[in-house]
Amino acid sequence: MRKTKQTPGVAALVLKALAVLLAGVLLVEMLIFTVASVSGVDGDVTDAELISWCEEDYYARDFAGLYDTLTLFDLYGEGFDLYREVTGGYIILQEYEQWLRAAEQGMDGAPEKAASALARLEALANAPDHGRNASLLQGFLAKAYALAD
Amino acid sequence: MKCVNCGANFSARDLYCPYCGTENLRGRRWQRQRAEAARDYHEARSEELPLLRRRLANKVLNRALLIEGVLFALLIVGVFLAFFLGDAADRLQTTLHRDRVETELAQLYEEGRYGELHLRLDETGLFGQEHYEYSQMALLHYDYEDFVLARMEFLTQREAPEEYTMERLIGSMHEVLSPYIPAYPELTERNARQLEEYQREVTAFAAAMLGMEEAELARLRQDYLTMDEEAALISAVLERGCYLAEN
Repeated sequence: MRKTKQTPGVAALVLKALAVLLAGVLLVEMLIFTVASVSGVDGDVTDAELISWCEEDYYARDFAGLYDTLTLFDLYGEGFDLYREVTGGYIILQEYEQWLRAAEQGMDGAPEKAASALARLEALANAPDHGRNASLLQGFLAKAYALAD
Repeated sequence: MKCVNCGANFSARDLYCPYCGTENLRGRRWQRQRAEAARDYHEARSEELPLLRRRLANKVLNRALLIEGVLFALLIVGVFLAFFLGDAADRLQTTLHRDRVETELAQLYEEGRYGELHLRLDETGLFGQEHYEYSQMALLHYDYEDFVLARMEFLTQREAPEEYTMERLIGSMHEVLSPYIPAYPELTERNARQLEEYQREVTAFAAAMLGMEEAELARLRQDYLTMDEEAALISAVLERGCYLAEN
C-alpha cells in the first residue's frame, strides 16, 4: 500500500512560519551584535572616539569628566599621557586645598602634607611633559598660591 | 485502421470514416475514455492543488528552520571558539613573555603606578594569590581612585550637591576606610602603609571639607554601613553646609 504524505494544517503552517520569522530576526540580531563586537563598531569604543571624548572634556576644562573617562576605560599610554598629566595636576591641587584647610583646623601633619602637595604641583607645573598642559598647570599653581594667601 | 464498410485506412481516433462516413466505434470509445480521464485529472488537480501548496510551504519552512538552526549552531561555536582562542592566546602570550611581564608588574608596583598595575594584572590574567601583594594593592588603589573621582566631582560642583553625588562620595570614603577584599585579607607591610596614606587623606577630607566629627568617621570605619547610617551621614553633611568650589 502506498504511503500517503500527511498534509499539515493551516494553523500549524502559520505557527511554523512565525517561528521561522522569529528565529530569523534573532539570528540577524545576533549576527549584527557579534560582527559589531568583533569589529569594534558598536561594542568597544575605538581609541579615536576615546581621544575625542577626552578632548571635549579637556577643552571644556571638565577635569572630573576627563578623569572619569580615563579611569572608566583604563586609559594609559602615549595617547592619554597628556590628559593623565593635567588631571594629575588637578588632583594635586585638590589635595593641597584639602590639606591646607586641614592645617587651618590644626590637624596633625597637615601642614607638611600641604607643603608636599604644593612642591609636587610646582614641580609638575614648571616642567610639564606636555607643553600643551603648561598654561593649565600654571593656572592650578596660581590658584594654589592664591589659596595660601 | 481499416473502415469496416469501405476498407479505407484512417486514424483509429477518428469518430467517422473520412471516406464513407461510417461511424468508428473504437474512435468513439477512445474519445469517451479520454474525456473521462481529463475530467478525473481536473477533479484530482482541484482537490490536490491546495494540499500540494501546503506541502510545499511546509517543506520550505522546514528547510528554513534547518538552515537557521545550522547558522545558529555555527554562530555559537564561532563565538565560543573566538572567546576561547582569544583567551588562550592571551595566556600563551603571558606564558611566553612571563619574565617580561613579571618585570613590568614589579616596576609598576615599585613606582606606585597602581592603576596601570591593576590594568596589566587584569589583561594578563595574573590577578590572584600568586601575585598576592600586587593584586591586593591594585584593589586597594581601585577604591582610592574611586574616592579621588568622587572628591573631584564634589569639589567642582557649583551648586548644592545632589544626593547621588553625596552617596557616591560617602560610599567611596567608606570603601577606603574599611576596605573589603576577602581574597587578600592580610595586608602586606607595604600595602598597609599605602592604605594608611589613603585613609589619612580620606579622613582629612572628611574633617576639613565636610566637617565630619570623630563619631561620624568611626561610623565610616565600620565594616558595614547600613543605608540608614549612610543617609544620616549625608543629611548631617548637608545640614552643615558643604564646601563649594569658588570657580
